[in-house]
Amino acid sequence: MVVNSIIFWLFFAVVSIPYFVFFRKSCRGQNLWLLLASYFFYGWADWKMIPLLIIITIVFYWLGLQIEKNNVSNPKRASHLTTLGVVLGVGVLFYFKYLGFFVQEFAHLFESFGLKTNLSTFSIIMPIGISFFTFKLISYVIETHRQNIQPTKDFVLFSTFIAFFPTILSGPIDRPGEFIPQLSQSRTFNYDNVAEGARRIIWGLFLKVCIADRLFGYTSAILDNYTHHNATSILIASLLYSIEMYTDFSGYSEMAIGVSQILGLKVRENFLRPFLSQNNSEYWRRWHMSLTTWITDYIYMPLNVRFRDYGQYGMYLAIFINLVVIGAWHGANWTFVLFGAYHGLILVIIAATEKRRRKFEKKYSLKKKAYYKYPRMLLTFFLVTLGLIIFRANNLSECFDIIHRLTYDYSFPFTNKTTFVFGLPFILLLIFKEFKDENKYNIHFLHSKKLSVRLISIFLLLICVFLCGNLDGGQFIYFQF
Amino acid sequence: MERQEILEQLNEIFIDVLDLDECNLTDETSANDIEEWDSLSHIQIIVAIEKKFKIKFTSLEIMKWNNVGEMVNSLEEKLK
Amino acid sequence: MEDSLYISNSNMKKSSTKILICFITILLCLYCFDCILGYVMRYISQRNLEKEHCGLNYCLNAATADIIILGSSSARANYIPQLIGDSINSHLGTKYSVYNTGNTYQDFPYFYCEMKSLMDRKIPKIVILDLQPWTLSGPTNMSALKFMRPYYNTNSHVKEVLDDNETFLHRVLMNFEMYKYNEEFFDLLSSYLYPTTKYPMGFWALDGEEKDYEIIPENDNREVNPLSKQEFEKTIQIAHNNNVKLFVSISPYLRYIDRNSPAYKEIVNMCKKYNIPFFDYSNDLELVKGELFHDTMHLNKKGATILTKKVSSELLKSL
Repeated sequence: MVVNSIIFWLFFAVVSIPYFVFFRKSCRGQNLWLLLASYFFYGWADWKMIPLLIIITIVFYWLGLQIEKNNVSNPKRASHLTTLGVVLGVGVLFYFKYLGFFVQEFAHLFESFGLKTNLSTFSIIMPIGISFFTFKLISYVIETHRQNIQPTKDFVLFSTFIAFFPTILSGPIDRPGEFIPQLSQSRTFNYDNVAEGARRIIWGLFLKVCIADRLFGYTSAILDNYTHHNATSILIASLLYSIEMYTDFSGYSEMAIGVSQILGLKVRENFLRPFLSQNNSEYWRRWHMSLTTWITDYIYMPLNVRFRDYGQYGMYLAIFINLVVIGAWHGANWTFVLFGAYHGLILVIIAATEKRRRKFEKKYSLKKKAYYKYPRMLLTFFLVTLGLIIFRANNLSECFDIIHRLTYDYSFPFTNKTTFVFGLPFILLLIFKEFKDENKYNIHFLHSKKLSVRLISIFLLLICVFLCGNLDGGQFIYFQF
Repeated sequence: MERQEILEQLNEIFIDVLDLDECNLTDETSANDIEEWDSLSHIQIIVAIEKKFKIKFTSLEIMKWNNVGEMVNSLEEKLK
Repeated sequence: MEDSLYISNSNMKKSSTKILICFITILLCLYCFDCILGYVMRYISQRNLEKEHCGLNYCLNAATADIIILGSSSARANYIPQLIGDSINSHLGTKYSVYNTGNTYQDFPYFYCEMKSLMDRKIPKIVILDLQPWTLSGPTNMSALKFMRPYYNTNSHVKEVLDDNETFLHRVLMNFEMYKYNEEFFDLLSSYLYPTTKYPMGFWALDGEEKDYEIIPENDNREVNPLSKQEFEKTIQIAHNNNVKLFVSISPYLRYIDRNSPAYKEIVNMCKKYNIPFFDYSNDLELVKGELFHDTMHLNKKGATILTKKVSSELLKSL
């Protein structure tokens, strides 16, 4: 069930009513109900993978308790158990997500030497959401080992944390230290939570349906058929693709966070106006935050600590590896690795020039100056767009081909009336809202103090969604190409 | 070494590494309290501490620290 | 303990009542807006009938021509009605009128619907069906369906085609004006406010030249869409049953046409099966030249003139 589909809302109504009516006094009852709903939801998406989810949940539940027992009495064993947990989590992820890719690559390598294999189409079906719940499990054992959390003895609670339906398929990735304590108390139907949750859902719906799905047709038509288009079209499509990626993912995250909020549970934020970043370093602190903070906490920091005797170069290496891992997490393709390396290189350059830049900024007090801020935002946006061109390409040769094509043939672009008439005003609205939120202007719509203004804003947003949104679920509108 | 002495030496290290004019570390001080104390300078601080006290921490010990107080605890243990 | 339970219960009651009231208020406002939108859009559509709006509108409500050209935006740019009319009328001594109903991105089920509607009004003598070589493959053309939605309640053919092509859920949602006029309201509104009368007989002359283009061979192995094939066949049958002379034509394009694709072969087979004159201009070397094209998909006025002359002479041979 996609979050912006009617059937999901029916499901959600069926889940939330008993949650608040029958189980309101019992946190165990609520958790059990959520657990059943989550497994139903996951099963609807991919029922064959339910046994995997159950088994892996049981194993990590047991590991958590064992690690805690051994933390004080037998630290070495605790270390080994933690390593086992990490290896298991990474191993499962590797098996389903990357093994097929590596086998194919080896097969291609062998074939280029003339050795025939029948493995070049070897692939394994990837369980949906695996990149997300394995990360939750791994962070659970690591945090238990670092003694930052107490592992839970309540199996239902633990399973609910892992399988929680709003976030299991596409995140945000929650930390046990933040989420498990919330599950330990019963949640009540709270007006503020429900209202705010609803607002977030509607805003997320707007972002996804009115902007992301609207841009999808145009960007796919051009970028999937880039050989038939000139550089101007490819450039415009790439820039719009950045916006599409952002609104699609943040729209989805807003809906997931909103649904959780209605249920009384606070979930990690994923986006903080990333395109208002003034350099790539800031961008990665604002984009897909639940993932980047996870990788920073569990890969970057340990690496940084390990490389500390190599001074700055150790840190640069840690940064580079960090970004490559973030890139590779997205999927099994060399383009994702290149995407990570590209950003890694930029971040290393930023880190290497950090001290000089800070001095320069202080000397001319540039930080608040508009002529300093806005060009940097634009430059960051362009650099991110270039990264997303690499990200989106199907393979490396396509990626280089597209970039090469951007260097010549700038003539009149392909335009599509519907995309621009409906897309551009909403993009402008989004930009306005982002700047307003960043600078805390006094105009409020969704968060006005007056109920009437809030209701009117919600009403208008819903009109935009139903009347001007792309309700075909971003289906590929068959362009003439 | 006394806790207070350790804390004073840490103070000096912080002022040196973070380029501060002054610093008043307490057991509760954490990275949220000092703007210049980010992940980069955190590593530099650790390297400086290890050099000054001529000790080596394990990765696990370092990852467990949440504030200055816990750093001092680890130092106390190591210096015994 | 009991007090706090009582307080939390009454808080919950207050919260849920407030939420329920807000929810119902918004639903009611949306419903009212929906109804008002319906009235406004029906009024505008009615007014639009009185002008030559677009291909579908013409076929559904205003068709009077004897020779009709059905096709996509390529057809709209490539076939000059005036020239066809003059050529045929001068040779046959008739007084046929011609109209070009070409519109962006359209193919089956749109053409099927247009054909059916033409039968209700004045049955044309000749219909030129300009198809794109890949039109029978690929998924259903959603934008074509969307285009037809505003006419769902007023035209039974549109209703039939949409019901066949869309899911049950869509049928339920068609009861809501906002869904029906989603996106299309803008075109209807702009046609009403800024009517375009500068495209007589539906033809849109394009200018400019396409200088830098590459024709890259690409195979199109997509399967034929059974629903599209069915609608193509039904369209042909309607033409035959009503004594309409049907011609199938493929415009020239500045791109590689895979004549081995299932879609292309299906068009050829269908034309053979029903004995329909089939003209493929996409491999005509006289026409596939950059200076005759506005962009890779549409001819400019020069190219359209040459193509129309060729089409007219072929039509005359078959009549």
